[in-house]
Amino acid sequence: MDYLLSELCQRADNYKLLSECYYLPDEELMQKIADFSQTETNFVELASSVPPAAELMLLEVDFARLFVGPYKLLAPPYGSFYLEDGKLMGDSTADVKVRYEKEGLDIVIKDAPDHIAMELEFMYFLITKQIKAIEDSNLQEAQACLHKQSAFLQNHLVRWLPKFAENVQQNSQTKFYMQLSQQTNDFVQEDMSVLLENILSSQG
Amino acid sequence: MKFPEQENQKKSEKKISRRNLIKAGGAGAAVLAGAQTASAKQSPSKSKRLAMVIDLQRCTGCGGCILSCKSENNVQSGIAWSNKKSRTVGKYPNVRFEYIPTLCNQCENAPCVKGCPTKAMHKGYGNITMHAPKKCIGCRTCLAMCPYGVISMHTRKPHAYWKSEDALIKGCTASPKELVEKVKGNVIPNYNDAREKSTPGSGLRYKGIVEKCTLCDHRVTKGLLPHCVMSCPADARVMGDLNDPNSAASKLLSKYRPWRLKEHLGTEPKVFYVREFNPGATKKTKGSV
Amino acid sequence: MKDNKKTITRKGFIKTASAVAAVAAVSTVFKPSLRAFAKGSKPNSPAESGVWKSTTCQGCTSWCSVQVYVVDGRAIKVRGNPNSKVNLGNCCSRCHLSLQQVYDPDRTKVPMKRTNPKKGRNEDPKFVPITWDEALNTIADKIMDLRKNNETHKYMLMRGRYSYMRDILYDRMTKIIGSPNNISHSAICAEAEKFGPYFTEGEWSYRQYDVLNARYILLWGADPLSANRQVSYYLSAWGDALDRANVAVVDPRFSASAAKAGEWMPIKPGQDGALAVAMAHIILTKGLWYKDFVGDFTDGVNKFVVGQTVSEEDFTEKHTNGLVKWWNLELKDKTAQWAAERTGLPVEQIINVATDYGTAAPHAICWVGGGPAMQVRGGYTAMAAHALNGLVGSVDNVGGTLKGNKEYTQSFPAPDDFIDDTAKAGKKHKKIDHRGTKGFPVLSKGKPGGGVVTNNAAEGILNEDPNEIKVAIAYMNNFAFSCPQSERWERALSKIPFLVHLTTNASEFTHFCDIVLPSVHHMFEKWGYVKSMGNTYRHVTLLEPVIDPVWDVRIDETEIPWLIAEKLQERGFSNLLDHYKEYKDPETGKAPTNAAEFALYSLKHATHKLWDPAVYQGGDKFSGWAEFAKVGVWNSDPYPFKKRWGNMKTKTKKFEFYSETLKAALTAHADKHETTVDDILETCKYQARGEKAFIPHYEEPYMWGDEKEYPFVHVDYKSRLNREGRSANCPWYQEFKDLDPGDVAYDDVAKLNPIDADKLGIKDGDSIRLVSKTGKLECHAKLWEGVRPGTVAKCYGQGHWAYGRVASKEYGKTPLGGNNNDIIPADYDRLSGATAFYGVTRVKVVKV
Repeated sequence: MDYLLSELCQRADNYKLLSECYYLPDEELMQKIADFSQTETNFVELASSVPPAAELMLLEVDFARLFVGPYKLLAPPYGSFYLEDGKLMGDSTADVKVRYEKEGLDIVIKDAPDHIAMELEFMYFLITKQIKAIEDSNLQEAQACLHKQSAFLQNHLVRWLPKFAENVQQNSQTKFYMQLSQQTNDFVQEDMSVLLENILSSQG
Repeated sequence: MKFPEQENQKKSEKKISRRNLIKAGGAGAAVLAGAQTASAKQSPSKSKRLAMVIDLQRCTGCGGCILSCKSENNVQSGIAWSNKKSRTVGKYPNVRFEYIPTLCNQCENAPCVKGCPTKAMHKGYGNITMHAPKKCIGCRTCLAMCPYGVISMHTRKPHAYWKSEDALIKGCTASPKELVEKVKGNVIPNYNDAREKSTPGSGLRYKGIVEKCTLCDHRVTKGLLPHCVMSCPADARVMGDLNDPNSAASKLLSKYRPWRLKEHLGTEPKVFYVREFNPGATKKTKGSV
Repeated sequence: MKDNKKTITRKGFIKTASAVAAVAAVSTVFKPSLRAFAKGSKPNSPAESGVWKSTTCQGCTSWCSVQVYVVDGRAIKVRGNPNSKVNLGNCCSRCHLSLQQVYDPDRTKVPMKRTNPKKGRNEDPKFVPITWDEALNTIADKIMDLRKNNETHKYMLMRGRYSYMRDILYDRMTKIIGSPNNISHSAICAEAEKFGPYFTEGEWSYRQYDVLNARYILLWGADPLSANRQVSYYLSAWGDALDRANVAVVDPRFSASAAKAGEWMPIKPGQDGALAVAMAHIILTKGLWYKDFVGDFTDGVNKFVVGQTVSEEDFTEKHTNGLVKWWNLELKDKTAQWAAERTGLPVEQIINVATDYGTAAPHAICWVGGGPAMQVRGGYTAMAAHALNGLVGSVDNVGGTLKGNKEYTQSFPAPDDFIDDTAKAGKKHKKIDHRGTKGFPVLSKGKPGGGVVTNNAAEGILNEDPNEIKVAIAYMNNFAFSCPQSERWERALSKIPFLVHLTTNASEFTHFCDIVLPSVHHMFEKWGYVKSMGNTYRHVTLLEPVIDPVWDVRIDETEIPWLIAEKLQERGFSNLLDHYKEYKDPETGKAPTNAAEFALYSLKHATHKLWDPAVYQGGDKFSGWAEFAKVGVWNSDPYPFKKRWGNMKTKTKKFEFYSETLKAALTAHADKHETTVDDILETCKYQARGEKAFIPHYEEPYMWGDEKEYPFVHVDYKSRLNREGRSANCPWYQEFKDLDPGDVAYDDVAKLNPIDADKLGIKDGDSIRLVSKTGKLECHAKLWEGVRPGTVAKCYGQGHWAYGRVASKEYGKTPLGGNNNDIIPADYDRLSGATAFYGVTRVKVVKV
């Protein structure tokens, strides 16, 4: 059981750290990545792509070019852009918002609900909720959380991350964001397939 | 299908064990399939064309749609998103009463959308004609363009009634404002925050902008039927996706010859009417010359 | 994608899982904090963030089980309760207005007292707020004064709309104080309507109609798509009923139901009886009666021929009594031609409708509403029209007219042990409404003086006949507005030295009160229950407090009597409180210790057999009170069709065309007054003499005013937005008044046929005055093709001069529009006690 729980914890941590990576980069984040790569082999690669502290500025510039503006965004970090042919604040954004609301979550940062950081953090939230439910022996709730994760991934991140990652690959000027977007996508895709596998294998 | 809220809320009764919690879905594929269906309902789909079919034989002209819309959407007095046209025709004793429930026609070729200079009127989920209050500059082009008169302009602060500070009997009754504060309403006592949560600025609207029915987009995008549809005691309103030939709306439109308001204008309304308000029997006659 | 990139994989972290587990077995590395999100105020909110709570709408007497959508203790919207088999999740438009009632700023928020000792229409009461304690102390003192002086009969309780918790305040409290004067509003409701079914099939009640299985529906002065009864159910069923049934509407006004009917019969007001007996005549001469119910001629040959009497021996009746007597005494000459002359309807229409109705037997409903019944001689018309159901065998039949299903609520504990000698002596006095006197037989349930003559209580008070009234309490009523010739009530109420009103709004009635107690809104803030029927079921639906009460209000029927009882106990009279303490919680056996407990326990007691599986009797089954309260409604078992055939509660156990039941009742009343039935009928303004008194028959209308001076007949009707008389202060009421066919938003209009209007030179929107023999009102004119020439139709509901800022033009002073009761004279169908509203008022129309 502890093994299973720790697996959940790790998934949560991965989502959380990935989410953090899509905010404006700072030294604290870089330190987190470095710390995390100590226990998490997967982040070794990413940690190695972190530039020296003096060059943090380069990351900030790239971050702005890709994700913030003020000019045309090179890789908009919003789900609806990829799901609805370049549209922002579309139906898919509304759907994401509904899912947050159903969990009783209010958005406290000034950005669209389908921002990648929010969607990744939402996965973190669902997983921690599942952990809590298991600890409380609320099996029904834990199961519900599992399905919510799978539904959310299937409808959103899994569908648009490939295109997003490609966009970043093509437009990024830093190794860090190329690495980050690629690893985000790969992690989420695999997480999805394992989630599904687990759900389906339970039938037998 | 009267209460989708309840159906959606039904939970799987199946037991699950702690052991298969993570590795397994517990209730298995059935639940998963259910989850997928439910999410499919909510998931974005560009191909939906939502329409409303109003069965006039079932309609009794009670006005339940009009009043329920008022409460759902905090519509101020003098404005009705859900409305009606009625008149008495004929000479005594041969008279008939005509009654047609009306609402925004959700035109496929919406003149209001074409005319709006700021894209405040725009097409949204399910091809609903949406209005973004924050983009609206109150130019009233949409009012002029709409052939159906279903768009209303706020020329003064809405809900003025509730802002009065006068009490009828001093110390014994409240002022409207006091009442709203006492019950922790918002401008109106029975304020519904559902719209505002969905589209900021759309909850109460304000002076200087227009407003209209958006087919309860705040409900529809959550898989709920528009409130007027839910509230119709006669089930005269049927909502559905025209792109789905098996939707209840499509079926009705196949069975009965539908008509729409001002079809000749080519606006392609998506509010359809079928059958007669009064289908009463008549005696056979060949008439006379 | 670049395959050679080493990526984050699940395998990767699973490999190191044990290492992490060692560090943090069951917690994540990150602190459980969120960056983009915050926990909302409503965790785990579903698509909608509130809760649907069950209660009951008493906007009209449909009494639909409904649900209120509540967010943080605040009501947002309403809907029908999906758990009811009667209204099936539906509510009508008037239910939505309840939101503007409960949140009406003009509700009284605290108890108040009058500081102007002078009472009258033009006296400002000068109300000031007082505490509950002061209000209750004053009331208790006044009651104790009566008891000390042995004049408890000078106490009076007036009841308007009620829930079935009513007996606590209406019956028990009045009895234990010691007064005969508990006066209900029933006779301004529709008692005469019950007269028809009672004296034919033995049921003193309203009926339900199996419209979905009907082949013909004849609506007679009834407008079920607009008002009463079970509006929401009929709204839901009507579109489908129209697929199978022909609908005809008998009404001088083109009603909301006429708008969806195949046939409109704009009858001359008051002539309904003529149409009814002619229809019976046609059905019999054409041989269309339903033989399985009524029987047949022994030789199978129809001997019902115009003008010819029939021998009783030739006909063998099955489940009916006196068909041949009825034919010989009344029907044989009542041809379509004869009826056409009186009703103003075309002969062919009468024949067609009668024939189609008869052909549809037994699935042919004759739906008798208040219109034909609530007239001065309306009791007999109600009988005549209802008798058509007997002829076609639709009584208790599929697609016919039904009674209420069995339900299992129980009455409150008996008060007998708590009625002391003072009270006993007081109770022996005669009642203030003169029921049972020679001129007021009021044969409710066949018992002389068995019912109430609500509107006549004003005369009793004014004339101190049989005695003066010194202390009166009234609740959920507004007799100074709702009773015809309401000016009499203004004077009567001014005369009562101490008058208390339990009310939500300062109404016209309140204007004459000394103490006003702010009451709960029944749908949102009250514990109670009511029963109603429709869709071949009956439900018992709970009134529940679903929101935080808006003000410091109390429940009129339970909490307030308890609070008064406490005050009486403090003054040495504990009988009432001792009695109330017997209303124990069936779950715990605990006696109530305060008003709130009393309100709940008494309700649990009354509905005990519905929710307690241990004493289950039938219908819906619950696990206990908690589940019942959540679901909000109990449904009966399905309807047992035809069970009453041959076993009706009449004297003959049959459906009576010759009413032995009425004969017994009338004879008993005549005997009581040592006179003849004929004398009684003459005293009571009826035309029948001899045997005719006991059969459904035609009586000429009795109207007030000379035809030359008052050329028009007033046609009163009810709005689909009327919540009885209580919704005019809702802004939505005014805004959508045009939902009633012919009516105008933000206005109160009298509808004239353009032919009449032209003659008078009146145009649309003109200010006009309607003047009757007893009063006048002002409103606007509306030229409309939906009214019969010679009549003026005007909706009831407007004309408030109090109640609130929206309802009145100037609160306490000027009415908005006109109140129909200002022109309707106070008169009665004396056999039932019912107040006459229809076919009684002649008016002239004057341009102002």
